[in-house]
Amino acid sequence: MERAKQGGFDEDSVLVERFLSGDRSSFEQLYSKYYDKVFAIARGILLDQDEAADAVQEVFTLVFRHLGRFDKRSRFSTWLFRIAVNRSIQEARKNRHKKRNVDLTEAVGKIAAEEPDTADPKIQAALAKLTPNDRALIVLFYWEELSLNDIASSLNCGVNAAKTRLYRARERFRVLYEGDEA
Amino acid sequence: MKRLAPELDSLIWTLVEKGNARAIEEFLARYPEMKQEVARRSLMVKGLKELKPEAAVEFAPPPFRPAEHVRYQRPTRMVYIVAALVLAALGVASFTVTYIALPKQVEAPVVEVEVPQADPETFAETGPPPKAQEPSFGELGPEDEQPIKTKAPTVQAPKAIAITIEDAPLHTVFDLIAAESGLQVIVAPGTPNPSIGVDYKQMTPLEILRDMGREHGFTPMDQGDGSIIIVPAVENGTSGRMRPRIPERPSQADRQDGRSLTGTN
Repeated sequence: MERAKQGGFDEDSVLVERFLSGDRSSFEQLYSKYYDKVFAIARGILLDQDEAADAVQEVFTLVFRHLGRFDKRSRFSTWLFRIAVNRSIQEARKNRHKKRNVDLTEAVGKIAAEEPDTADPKIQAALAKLTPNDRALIVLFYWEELSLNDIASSLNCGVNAAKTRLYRARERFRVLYEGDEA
Repeated sequence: MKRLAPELDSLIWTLVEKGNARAIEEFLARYPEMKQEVARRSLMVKGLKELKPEAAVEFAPPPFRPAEHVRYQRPTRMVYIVAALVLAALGVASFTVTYIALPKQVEAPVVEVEVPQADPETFAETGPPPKAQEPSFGELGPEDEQPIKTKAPTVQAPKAIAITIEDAPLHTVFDLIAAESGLQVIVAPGTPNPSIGVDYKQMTPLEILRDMGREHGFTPMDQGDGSIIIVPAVENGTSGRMRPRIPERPSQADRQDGRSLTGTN
């Protein structure tokens, strides 16, 4: 998608226009194209594969209903990621109350069961201890490799604010990862 | 861990995230004490990136199924427009129902009151005619005459009546006029009662009585409350009876004759 944008041709905009004109298959193409990315974002924030799968369906439901409101001032992917982050954080906060009494090791163990064996358990544990907002920043920067500009657009904030938030989230993660006292 | 200077801290993060081996070597050649820190952060970043779900599904993404429980985050403009129209319709309907349900006020009937025309010759100096007072009859005669009153009037606008009588006492004619018009006619003592004949059409009671009064020597005085007082026209100094002290204005006939009921010219 990024290479297409740099080439001056925005495939996503074309698909959006087609969908708004009544071509339902265009939405299917967008869905297939961005499913993995949205799933990764939801998975990183929610830390649960099943919850992430549900969140992805909800995200694309919102996109399907409100695509007419996409103002095209930003890229479609940025708009999509914003919805994905917001929805995932909402779900994470909603589920936080349900999981409050769940042992952290149990939660980490569940994550580990879903992850490949090469995953560092310390990484998993540190990630689980972060807030959903911090996890969102980590995921957008390290998993989706978005620039600070794109992260700012996805979070609907300024670039400097995004930079500050990212640095703080990363520092908190580092402290948790290395086991240092706050 | 000892906190690093912000610039150094930011530089290390940039190096490990970019993963440029040569750049890292040059940095460590300059800052060999940072070797462990660089190694620790490299491991952390590597672990984070590896934790990313793989194109999490081996197969095609699951089919898209709209989640019905997902509510609109914000209603569309059309919703606001429809809601505004519905509210406006409810307001109009409420007003209409209330307007229909309220009892209509009955308009008060307009009562036409005949206002006697002021005679400029009489009222030029004194203004409108004074309200007629009850006549003081003073000492009553042996006949024990009492004012003859007809039944209580119902105040209503004077209407033209017609009365035709060939021969009847004057006071009977008064009764007939009262009955016909609904007015109360009060006849003062001393009012003559000759037998008369009348023939009036489309004239108000007061007009009829005035005309009769000029002919038969009495004056009708409209009290304004549905009653008319008939007082005799007294000749100057000729009557032995007590004259009713009534502030009155001379009839037109008297004025023409140069007489007034008060006995003054």
